[in-house]
Order: sequence, then structure tokens, then C-alpha cells
Amino acid sequence: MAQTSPTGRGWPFLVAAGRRRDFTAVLAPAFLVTDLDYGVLPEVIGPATPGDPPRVSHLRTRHGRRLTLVSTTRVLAPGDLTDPLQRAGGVRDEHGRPLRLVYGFAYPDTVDVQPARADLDAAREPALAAYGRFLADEEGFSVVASQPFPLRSTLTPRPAPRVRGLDDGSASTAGPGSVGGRGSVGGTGRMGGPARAGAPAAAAAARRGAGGAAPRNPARGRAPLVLGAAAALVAALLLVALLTARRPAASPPYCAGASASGSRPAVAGPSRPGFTAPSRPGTIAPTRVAAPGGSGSVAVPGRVGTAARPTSPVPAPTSSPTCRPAPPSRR
Amino acid sequence: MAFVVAVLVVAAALTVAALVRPRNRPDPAASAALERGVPTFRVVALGARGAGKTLLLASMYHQMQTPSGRSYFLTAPYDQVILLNQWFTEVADTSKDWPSGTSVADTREFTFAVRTRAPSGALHSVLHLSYLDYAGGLLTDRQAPGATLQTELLDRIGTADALLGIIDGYRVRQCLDGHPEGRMRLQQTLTAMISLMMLAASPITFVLTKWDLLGDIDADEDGRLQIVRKLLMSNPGFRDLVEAHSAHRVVRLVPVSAVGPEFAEIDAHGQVTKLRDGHMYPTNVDAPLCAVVPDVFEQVERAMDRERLRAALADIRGQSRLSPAAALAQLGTYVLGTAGKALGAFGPSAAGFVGEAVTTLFGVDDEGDVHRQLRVERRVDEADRALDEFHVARRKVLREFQSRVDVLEGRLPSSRLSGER
Repeated sequence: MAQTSPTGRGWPFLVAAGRRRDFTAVLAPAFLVTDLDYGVLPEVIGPATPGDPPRVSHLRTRHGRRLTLVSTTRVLAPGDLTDPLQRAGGVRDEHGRPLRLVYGFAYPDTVDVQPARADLDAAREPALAAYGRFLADEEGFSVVASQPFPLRSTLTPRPAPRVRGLDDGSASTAGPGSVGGRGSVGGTGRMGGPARAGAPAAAAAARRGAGGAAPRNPARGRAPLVLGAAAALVAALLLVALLTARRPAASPPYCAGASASGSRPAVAGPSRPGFTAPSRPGTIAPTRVAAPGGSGSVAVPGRVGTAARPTSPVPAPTSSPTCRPAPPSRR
Repeated sequence: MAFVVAVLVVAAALTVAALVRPRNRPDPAASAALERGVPTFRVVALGARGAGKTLLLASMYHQMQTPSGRSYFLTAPYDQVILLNQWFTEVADTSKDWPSGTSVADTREFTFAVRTRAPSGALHSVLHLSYLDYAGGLLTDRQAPGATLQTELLDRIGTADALLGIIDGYRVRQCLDGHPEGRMRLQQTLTAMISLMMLAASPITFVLTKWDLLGDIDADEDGRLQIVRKLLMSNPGFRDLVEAHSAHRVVRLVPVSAVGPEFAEIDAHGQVTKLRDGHMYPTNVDAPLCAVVPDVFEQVERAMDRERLRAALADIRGQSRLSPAAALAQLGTYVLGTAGKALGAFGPSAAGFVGEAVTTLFGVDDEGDVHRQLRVERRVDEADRALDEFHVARRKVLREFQSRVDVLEGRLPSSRLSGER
């Protein structure tokens, strides 16, 4: 899958501030310049600490084009300026601050990159040339369109990242975070929006930080106890239900003259094996009535659409099933 | 057997109730609700590249992160604290260059909590401040095709609670020295500022940065400020802007120095350089916030409290659909977090109102409910006391903000731009 890309081509770019003008795209891939779609570069590519490993950023331009950018930061040195006039102007801005250049190459798709130093070196030359032109006339300067060069970096195709906002120049940045430099602090987002650059983990941490510590749910710590107690409660209720079920639901009236022995009343109640089908939720258990001809009992439908089900035969009672024998007198 | 089961059921039910019942210890939910009720003011500083927006921010935080004789101090998320301290340290190191300017991609928002400790020892956040740090070129430079941040910045300016107009003291100095570049840059800054601030309904304050670079234009500090004020007011657009906003509130010009008078100088090439043995003594860096916050707070406080009260009443009414235990827990949370604060603004009669709400809520007609009512009322009273404390602390902080501005105005009468003399 991974390939050293002899056919892959990268386009140099440069984002930098001048002595007077603020950060802007000085050099941009020709296809972005042609489409007037390069404004996203300075909004996503910011300076890191010089000497840090190259940064890899993925972004989508306002026109929806996906890009992979590999960048590095360089503080302008006198030797970077070939024009003696430019060199005489110094390497600081009008406020006495060092000038930082963010340059690198762009690849016109979303790929994972193992940047080769040689590619960044190759991008530096056109970047410095464009920067010299920029310093010569900052106010009248127009972006320079860069031409592609063959890449030596390892490119690995990957699925397009889920980037928020199709047309807002959103970006994600991999590689070294910017903490420690003047780079972006991922996290608080920009202008109240989502963070665009910076390590995603740092962004997440900062988002938590911005609103204070992530709220801890106090109920979570007690959850096992609550669940246990609730389970005990349910178990106890089931036990009660079971015990209640073992008792006759209602005592039939005593039969006149019948004794406690020799009678077998029909049993009305739930689920005694061999007697009735168990009731199901949403149904009412069939009501047991005496079978015609005294041959036993049959089930008839309950109120809620329960079909009558055949039941196992019940031994015929020796006495009327609608009454029970009176208990023997205690006297 | 049945008896044992019944005992088991009762015991389990009691356990569940005890676990679900809110404890006496501070409820994190209530604390979170309290934090949620604290307003956030969005402050945007308008200034050109190099005007000192970022350094002012770092210096302001550095000075206000401890009380230092005040009743309040600032806190920020830790990653932001690290960044701000790093910038401040980088500036303070005289062996290093000035930090590079904020790049467009570095645009970010900082959030500060203004905190105070009440007599009880409780720490309160009385308000939050968000401060947008961005590249000044977004205001003054033309943007490349496909760029979007300038539009976002303009949106933020339009919805800000307060605007700080950052005027670069270095440009003023150049202007006073007859340097054409200074005059041109100052004009550029003022033009950008005027067009945006003229439309703003929010309070505005002008901040004159790099005050230390103007130290030798007059021996008297107010005399210096008067010179600068005269220069600025000679710009018709600036004068009109001040007059437009003066109709509603006081407009100030606050001179600040993020580094103080003994740290930097303008060298022979006209560039600002650090003194080799310079020491940082920031000047007035807390004053800009002190100038804008009381104005903003006054505007929003009443509306905020009214809204909170409305929400609290709605929630209390909603409790009647819950079980008494859950309703009690919810009531406590809301009284602590929302209703109480709102009620505090309505004075002592508020407690009586809550009592009535509780009575309605639980329907205490039966003698058996009296005990429960007393318990709820006790809880409400405790919450109300805590919230009274919060209000007192907040008032104290706001008075200190105002007092800071009054002291500045007493020392530098020219800082008051309203009512041109």
C-alpha cells in the first residue's frame, strides 16, 4: 500500500509575513492560484518552532479540494536573501520581530506522508525566491504560482478524513503539536468555532479545559449500589409474587353438606403444569370453567384477544367444582 | 416467610431511596449550574499588526492571575495559562528577540474567569471573559481569495459585548516625531477601527499601548496623555466616533505598557529593542478590562436575572410531575444553581416566594407533610444565604473594577475622552 512516489508530485508553497504586511500566501500551488482558492493556506498553516519535525496537515479548500500539506518553519536569515537591497532591509519586521517563513509542499489529495527532507529542501528554493519578491513590494505583491516537482516522500493513500465544514477551509493537523512554540494551541477553537489546527488530542483536552474540568457524574459512582439494591428489590417483589401465586386466588363457597375429603375442586390460577397455557403479556389468562357434562374444565378466552387453547384433560371432580367442602368443625 | 420478604422489600426500598437522595455535601450538579449561570463577556480588541494585542493579553493575565491587593483574580484553562506564561517569559527574556507576531492561523479565543473568595472561603466565578487573539492583518490587509477568517472576525466584532480599540503607541510616537510612516499607519488603524466601531452598540474603550515609548514627550504623565489625546481628536473620524458613543456612556483612552518604563527603547534605527538589563513592570494593563466590564455587566445583569428567574419558575412547576424525592433533589439544584441567584437580585422577599413555590409544589395540606415542608424551606434558606454571599462578592468585585477606573481618571483626567474640553 505504501509507496515511494516517483510519480507523485508536490507543489511548493510559502506562508509568511513581511516587514509590514501580515501573514499571507506568498507562494501557492498553481492550480489553487488559477482557481482563486489559495486563501485557506495562511488560515491553516501557521508557524511552528523552528527545528521541529515537519508538520503534516490535511485540509479542504473553500472550493472543496482536498490537500495534504507538509510544512516546516524557518526564521529568515540574512543569507536567505540574495538581493543585496533586500538584505539591507534586515531580517526583522518593522516592530523589530524576527520574520518566520512557513514553507513546504502540497499534495492534491488526502494521503499519509512520511516527509522526505529532500522534498522540503526542494520547496525552499522557490519559496525564498518568492519571498524576496514579496519583500521588494509588499503592498503591490500578488501570490506566485508554484510549479510541481517529483516527490520523494512516502505517500500512503487513505480515506478522506471527516472534516467539518465542506467549504470553510477546515483542516486537521497531524505531526508534532505546537505547544512550545508560537504555534496554534489546539482547542479553544477560533472565534468560537471548532479548532482547525493543532493536535486533535490537544484540541479535545483544551475543549475540556476551556469549560473547566469535564463534569463528573456523581451518580456514576453510586450506580452499582443503586443497581444492586434495585435488583434486590425486584427479586423480593418476584418472591412475593410467587408466594402469592401459590395461594388460591379466591376461595369458592363451601358446598353444603360436603366434607373436606373426597372432593377435588377445579383450580383457577396461573400456570400449574398440565392445566393451562401460561398467560402472556398483554393477554388475560383463560378463565377455567367446568366442562359440560362434568368431564372437566376447559379454557375460554379472556377479555383481550386470547384464543382459547386446548388444555390437558383434568381429572373429573367427584363433586361440584364450583364449591369446596366445608372444613371440618373444630368443635 | 411473608414477613421476612416484606422486611426485605422495605429494606431494599430504603436503600434505593437513600442512594438516590441528594447528600448534604456540595452537589457537583449544583456547582455546575452555578458556573453555567455566570455570564461570559466577549471582548474583542481591534488593532493593527504589531499594536500589542497579544502582549497586552499576556501581561494582563500575568498581572491579574493573583489578587495582589484586589479581591479578585483571573484564571484560565491550563493550556492557555501555559501559552500566556510562555509568551510573557519570552518577552521578559532580554537575551531573546521579541516574539513573532500572531499569524492568521494562530487565531484563537482565550477564556478567563474572574474569581473571588467570599468570607466563608468559598471561591466564586463572578464572570467570564473571552478575548479573541488574532493577526492584526485580518483587520487591515486585503484577504486572499478563498479566505474566510476575516468574515468570521467581523461577525465576532459585531456580536462582541465590548470593543477595545488598540492604538499603537509606537505609531503615535512616530507620528509625533514627524515620521510619515507613523502618520500613515496610525491613519490606517483609525480608519479600520472607526468603520467597525461606529456601528457597534457595545461599550468601547481605547487603549494606547507602548505607553513607555512616549515617556519623554512630557514630564507630566497626564500632560503626555493630553498630547496624544489632542493628536487623536484632531482626526475627524475619531472625534466623531467618540462623540457618537459618548451619548450613551463614557469613552476612555487608557494608556498601558505591557512591559513598563524600564524595559525597552527606540534605537537609532527607529526600532523598538529590549534593554539589556531591562525589567518588566507592566503599567495599567488591568485597566482596560476594568473600564469595560462594569458597563457591560450593568446592561446584562437585569435581563440575565430576569431570564434566570423565569427559567427557575418553569422548572419548579415542572417538578410537580416528579416524585417528591426527585422533585426535592431538583428543587435544591435549581435553587442553588439558578433560581436563588435570580432571586437574590430581587431582595429578601425572594425567600418568601420560594417558600410559596414549595408549598404549591408539594401541597402541604396534611399534617404529615409539614415536616417535609420544613426540610425544604431550610434547604432553600441555606441556598439563599449562599447566593446572597455570591451577590455580595460579585458587587464587591464590580465596585473594585469601577474604583480602578476612577483612580485612573483621578490620576489621568485626560483619559476621559467624552466631553471634549
